[in-house]
Amino acid sequence: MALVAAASGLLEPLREFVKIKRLPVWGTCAGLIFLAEAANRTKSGGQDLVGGLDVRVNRNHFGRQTESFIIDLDLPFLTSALTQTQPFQGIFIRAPIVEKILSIVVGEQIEETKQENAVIAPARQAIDHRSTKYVNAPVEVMARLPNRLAKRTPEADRLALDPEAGDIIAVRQGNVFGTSFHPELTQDPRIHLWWLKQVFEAVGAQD
Amino acid sequence: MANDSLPLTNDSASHGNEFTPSFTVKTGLARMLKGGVIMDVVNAEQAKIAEAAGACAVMALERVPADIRAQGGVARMSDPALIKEIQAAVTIPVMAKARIGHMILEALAVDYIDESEVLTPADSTYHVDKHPFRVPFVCGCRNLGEALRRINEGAAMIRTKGEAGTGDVSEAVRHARKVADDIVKAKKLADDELPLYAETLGCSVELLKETIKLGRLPVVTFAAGGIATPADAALMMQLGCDGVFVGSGIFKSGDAAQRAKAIVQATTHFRDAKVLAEVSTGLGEAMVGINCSDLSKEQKLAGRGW
Repeated sequence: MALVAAASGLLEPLREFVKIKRLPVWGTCAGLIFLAEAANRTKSGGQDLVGGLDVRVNRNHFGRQTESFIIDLDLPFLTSALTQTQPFQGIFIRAPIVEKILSIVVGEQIEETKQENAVIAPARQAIDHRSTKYVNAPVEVMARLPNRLAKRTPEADRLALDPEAGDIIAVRQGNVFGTSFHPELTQDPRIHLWWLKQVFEAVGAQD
Repeated sequence: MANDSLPLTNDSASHGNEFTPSFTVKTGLARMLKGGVIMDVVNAEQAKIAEAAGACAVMALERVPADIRAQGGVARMSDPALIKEIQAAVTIPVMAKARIGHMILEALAVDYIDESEVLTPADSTYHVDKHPFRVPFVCGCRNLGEALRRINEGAAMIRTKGEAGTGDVSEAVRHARKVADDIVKAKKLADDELPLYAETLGCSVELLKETIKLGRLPVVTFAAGGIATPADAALMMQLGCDGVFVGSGIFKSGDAAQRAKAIVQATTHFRDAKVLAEVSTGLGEAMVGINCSDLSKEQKLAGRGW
């Protein structure tokens, strides 16, 4: 995805959209990786990231396709006082996970380059006050995997994981949102509706 | 979304009940590959070249179809050592071909199994019952009936058969058009005419109805068989394919890395003539081709499978 974006001259326009103008973006699975400021287990020679979310993602966290799965998720952000929330069907396909929430730094996440096979996104200066506010917003954990899933990670990989590593599968930083799983492969529109509402409110706040 | 009415696969006992590997998970990976190029590779070095060129997955095999044609003999599944070496070399999905040995491939945790006519068939009556496997399968087809029979057996992705190892795209074009024509014909039929048409095609009425509703095959459908140039790839995309497999076309050509990149670009920008002209320029020698019309029926691989 990053290679095709680079070959098509799309990397910088994407960075401008996400980091300079800081417009609302949601990424799923590989999209979450693309929006992360840091990623590990990347291919040899690394890969380009757009950045925008101050998190470190672990690619193919659960393993290969034979470890892909579907599980019911409780997503707190979908809960409202008026509606009874049904679980959301989370489809994880060779999925990444948010391994660590990073502290917000000026410029690149240089510390992260100390990780083996890690890559970081290049820094870009937000264009105005509104964009800067979103860029510096705290990273919110929007959803976690049920605990029993931690054991899904093969033991060798589990030992290699950062001790602070978690089981975070959805994060938001201001107006940028990322999920490990694929709501677009379900027939359930709730996350899309929730997201559109977020965008609508953000755009409304600008006027 | 479109695939939810398709049959679910068996749950896997090895992981208990908390995970339900369903058909959605299998077709889901194929949906992530849409718009991409899957390249045949025979070693880790080629796999790295393919990954660096932007391939969305690689297909591990012992000999590319052009060599299987030239050398003859029984074409078998790859040595597991080779598959492991390729899996270690790249982070993109690794697929592998099998006619027998699919259980071995599942144990190796390949990401997709190609039940391929390129390899020598082991069972002249049945195709693999693909539902019980955690690994998804991709299968070849020449027409709608064959595609729906494979989906009914559990294939989570379909490709045209084309004529592998020739560098002649004409058979792939024929198969893609035949599937499309069969669907057009099906859409014109009244409900009570469908059982007879399904019988003619040799497929299930339910899957035929699903296909009519969607106006296309209910799983991701790639082009394969004879694709050797950026123009071939773009043509197959223009015919409505979701992506392309390139077999012998890349690593049997003069400059494999450049050709691989060019075919990826052509597949992404298949409607943009300027990009196609640019990436087609100065690619060096293409693979030595064989005209499909010069092949006898016995020499054609597409006839394998039923």
